[in-house]
Amino acid sequence: MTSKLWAAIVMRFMRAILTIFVVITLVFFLSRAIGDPVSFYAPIDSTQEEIDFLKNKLGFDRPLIVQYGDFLYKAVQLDFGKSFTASRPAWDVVTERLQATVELGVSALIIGIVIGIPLGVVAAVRRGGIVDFSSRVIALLGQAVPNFWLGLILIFLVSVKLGWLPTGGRGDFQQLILPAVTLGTFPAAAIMRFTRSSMLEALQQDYIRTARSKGLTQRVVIMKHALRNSLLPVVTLMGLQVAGILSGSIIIETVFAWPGLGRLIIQAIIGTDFNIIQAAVFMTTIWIVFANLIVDISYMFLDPRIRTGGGSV
Amino acid sequence: MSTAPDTSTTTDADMDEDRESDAALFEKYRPRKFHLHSPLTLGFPIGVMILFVITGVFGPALAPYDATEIDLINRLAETGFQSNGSWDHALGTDDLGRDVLSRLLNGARLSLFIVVVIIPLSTLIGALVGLFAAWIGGWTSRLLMGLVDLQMALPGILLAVLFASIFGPSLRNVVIVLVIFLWSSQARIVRSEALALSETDFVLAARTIGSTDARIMFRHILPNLLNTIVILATLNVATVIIAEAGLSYLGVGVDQQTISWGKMISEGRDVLSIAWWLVTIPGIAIITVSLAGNLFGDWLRDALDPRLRHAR
Repeated sequence: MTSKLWAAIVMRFMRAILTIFVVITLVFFLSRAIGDPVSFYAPIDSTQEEIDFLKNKLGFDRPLIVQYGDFLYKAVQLDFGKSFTASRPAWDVVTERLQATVELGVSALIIGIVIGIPLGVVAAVRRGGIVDFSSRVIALLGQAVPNFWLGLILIFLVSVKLGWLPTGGRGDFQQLILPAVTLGTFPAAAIMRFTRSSMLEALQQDYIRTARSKGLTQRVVIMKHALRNSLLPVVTLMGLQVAGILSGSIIIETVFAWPGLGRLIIQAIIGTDFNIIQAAVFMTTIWIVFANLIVDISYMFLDPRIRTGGGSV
Repeated sequence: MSTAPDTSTTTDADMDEDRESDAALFEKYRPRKFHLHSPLTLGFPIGVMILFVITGVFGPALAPYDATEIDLINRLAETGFQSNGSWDHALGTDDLGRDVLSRLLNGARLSLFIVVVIIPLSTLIGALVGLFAAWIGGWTSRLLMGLVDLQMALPGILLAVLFASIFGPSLRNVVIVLVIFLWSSQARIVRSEALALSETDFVLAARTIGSTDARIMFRHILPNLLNTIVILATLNVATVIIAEAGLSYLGVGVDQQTISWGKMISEGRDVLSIAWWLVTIPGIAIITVSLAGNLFGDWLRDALDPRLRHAR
């Protein structure tokens, strides 16, 4: 059945490439609809001849479909042209900003895991207890509180009132704490809920009874037998959280003046910087699509039921 | 069947014993000390929802002041609950002296409008596409589900920002973007549930007596999916309200003239350190309504469709 597995992986990979292609096409045509790119190169008082000359020189006078083909050809080589505002290659600007977003996103995911998994385990093991109840309340609140509002409240309480942490920017570790915590709350709530229900399911399995009747301690039963088996769906969820964290970071980076990809996109759209928009959306899409791809493929490998072709893939 | 020593030989007693052990099992896995979904807690979401609808419909009439009236002398007045505040402006005034309570009541109208327009629209499209994809199968289905996948790869907020920069911020954009964002999750779940249902015996029975595909879809499968569709729609209420607030906060949501809770937060941001209530109050309104929507959705899910309990 291995050849079937490989076929499924190749199909999945092709679908990922197709998705990226469609998104980038969509973004090309949408961003051309924003406005005439020439107007950002030409001075306000330039004559029609000067504008036409610039159009010709930059290739904006060609049919849209030719421009699109040219764009695709260059995009494959990661050449998105120069940023209008920074007058540097757009891809360089985007890669630079990506580091900040990855730093923030990874911190948020770590916070989500460190808080979510232990709470979910305790909530499942002591079902109906105080930890279960309060973590469910927190999870419910986590889905009802807008993250940008939470960010502002944290800025007010921790930075303005208590003066413990800076209000924004990026540089030292202290500046990372507030945005990471804000961005990490939603993944934490989601991971917790998922761990809880996954653990509850695992705890009812026969192998747990077997483990208990062997006389293993509660600790070993939970950590080695139940948790290990219930982590698979949680890993899937983490992959899906990448999309959530990336779109969450757009607004959180704006709240905390964090110089990442999300804030760059907002600035580029306000400043109609096409090349940056295209490069940044391309980058974001690649991350999300490949996170989903890796989740799907690792799922195929990790779950023996899928690996041996027991069900339909 | 049962191992209890006092089991009598009659089948009735056996069944009684079974019922008891079922009840014991139920007791064992019932949430014990605390209850989140008791009838009492159901009162909160229903109460909030009724209040939300009333303020949404009658908000501007209930407002003590004109929500757009600028009063620079009374700017940044504290709320009635604070030492320097007065009950003339129960929730204080913003940096242009506009009454926060009146703006909050007006903002409820926008949130209600958005929920009332977006939820039915996205639910209808999502359910129809999901059903259609399950029914037709083949390449059309794959294409439709490809669209759903695409939705996952392009964050809704990015699409919203692109739209707003092309057409300028407006209520119409918010509606379009959120409908595009929400229909896909409905479609995916409706399709997979419809596919599962089409394997069941009652569908086979209907097929055997010669029912057409369309009849099976709409008379046999759709009624069985209504619970799922309604639950998802209810849970989307909070998503819609929070998303609109986020878009309006970024300045890519509703236009300048419209009063929205998200925009109230963004307006209060600059004076956060001296007038915290301008950010806090609309946020609490958003949280209260979203929480009520989610609690009600959770309750509906537990009441109507236990299978979905772990779906979210």
